[in-house]
Amino acid sequence: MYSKHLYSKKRFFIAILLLCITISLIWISLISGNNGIVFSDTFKLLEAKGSFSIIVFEIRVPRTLAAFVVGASLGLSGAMMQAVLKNPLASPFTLGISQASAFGASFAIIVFQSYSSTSSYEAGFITALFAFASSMICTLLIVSLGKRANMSAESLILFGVALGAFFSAFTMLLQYFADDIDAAATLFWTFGDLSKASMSTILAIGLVLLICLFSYFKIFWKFDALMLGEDSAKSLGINTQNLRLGSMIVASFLSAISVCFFGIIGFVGLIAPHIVRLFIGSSHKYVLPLSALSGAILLLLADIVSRTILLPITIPVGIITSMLGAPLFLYFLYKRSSRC
Amino acid sequence: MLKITNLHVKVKKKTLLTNINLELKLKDLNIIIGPNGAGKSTLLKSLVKVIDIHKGNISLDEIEFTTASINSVSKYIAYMAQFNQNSNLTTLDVLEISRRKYSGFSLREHDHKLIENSINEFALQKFLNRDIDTLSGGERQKIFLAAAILQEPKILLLDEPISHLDPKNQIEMLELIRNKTKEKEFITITVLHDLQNALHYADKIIMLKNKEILYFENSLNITQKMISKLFDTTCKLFWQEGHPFLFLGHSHHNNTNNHSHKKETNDT
Repeated sequence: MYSKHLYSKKRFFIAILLLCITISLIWISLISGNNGIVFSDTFKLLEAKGSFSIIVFEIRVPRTLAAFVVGASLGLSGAMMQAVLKNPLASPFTLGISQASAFGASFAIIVFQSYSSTSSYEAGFITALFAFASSMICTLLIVSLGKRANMSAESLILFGVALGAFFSAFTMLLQYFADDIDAAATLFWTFGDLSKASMSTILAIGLVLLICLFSYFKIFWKFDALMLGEDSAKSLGINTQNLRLGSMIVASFLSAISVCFFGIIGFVGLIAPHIVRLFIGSSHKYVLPLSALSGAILLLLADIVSRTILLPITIPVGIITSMLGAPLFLYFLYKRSSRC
Repeated sequence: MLKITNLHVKVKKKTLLTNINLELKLKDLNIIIGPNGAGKSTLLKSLVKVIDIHKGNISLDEIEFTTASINSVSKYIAYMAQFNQNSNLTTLDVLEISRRKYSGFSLREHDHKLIENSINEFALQKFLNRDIDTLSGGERQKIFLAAAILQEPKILLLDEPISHLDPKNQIEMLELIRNKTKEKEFITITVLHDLQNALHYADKIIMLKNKEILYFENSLNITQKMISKLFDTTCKLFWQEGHPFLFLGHSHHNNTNNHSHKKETNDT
């Protein structure tokens, strides 16, 4: 009987390490606020009494949970896209899904005047609905166009880039004809911002994330087989077209549902799978769940930075992810090339 | 017996194979030879349904492949592709893929046993947790052969399994392929460019030229005339102690015998 000692222990340790980092970041996130990171608050957290506990449960807990589920969704979505498109550049942003989302939101705000509705909750919901619908239209366009072109990975990426530019152009057109207030509202919507978190949106995203994680048990090996090449995967009995189609729709759904509630949060979906693959290779048994975990870590970290770097101002987290993400990405690329 | 009758393959209105008829037996190592673009790889790919067939019939004993789904065909056929790209997977990952089509997320004890046997047989212990992209061509080809055999197929299709290998590794690989074919009772079909090795190791030779079969013969019945016709070049073929010696094209030296003799004496 060949036993587990044949397996690399490295992968297991990295999984545990990422889990520990996630837990400590959640803890730091809960004790940081307008006064920066206050370590002595840890004891108050456990007591859960008075006004402090109201701040924690009404503001910090939803925000932290949102960072976790959104980061995980974006990370998982990016990992799936990069796997089925066999392209390290694939992410919700490069495939035009974020831009389509922004167009949907702008349309809701400027044309549909969603912010003039009675409650702010309703306004947010209508805007999110438009953003979601728009990004799913973008996905379906990519997939249906790609199907005609035999679903080759390269053509899908190029369709995504083209559609992203197309949607951006329409967003700008809308903004050009909008009045100042609406134009500002659309601009602010695009800054990914976790302060919009509410328990219902977190639950919705979390539920979708859980369903995706469970379906992963069935199909992760097909992603591995795809790594060996299109023909090899087919010879193993995999319908590669359907796999690509299905995974694209699921991954887009995952990122669209996050983006429509919280705005554009760049780089997390791109960078999280890269970090994971750098350390453990492309075995998707590990890449998929650990990309979700790394995505959560990145967004939790960015959120803590966004709340503490310019006290007492909180910067939208989308700005931080791109600011931190770009140099981090370059660092990992550099590290990989210097290793080879 | 694998029976291919009247097979036609077309891709994007371009005919790639016409009128292929073959009957291949259990435990036979069949080697396809032929010029570039003759349709050698296409024949393998159409058998495993990577390429759709246009017309014709493929069946293994009573099992009909022509109308079966790609998933059910894959249970009988293992295919090793000609080119492999960077995959960033470890040796163990690659071996496990072969069993997952049967077992999914958690491999069963039976799968673990098969994988362990394969590791021992192919001497892969050293590379188990190594990224296959960092291994040498010979090691990688061995791993892919091990992975193909791990699928427990009835039919083994290998597309140029010894390209990029040095002579010793070529022979080792072909010995392995031949032995496994006899031992596990596969019907093996291999594309090979090395004619000497093809004649030496094959039971049957399939000669493909211009999208159709020129000859399908026992390897011992192959004549220099057939090979001349296949490659449109002059050819001399000798057999010595069960080894074929094959000379293609014209000699560039007037007194070739002298030359080779001189060299031999220098060496000793």
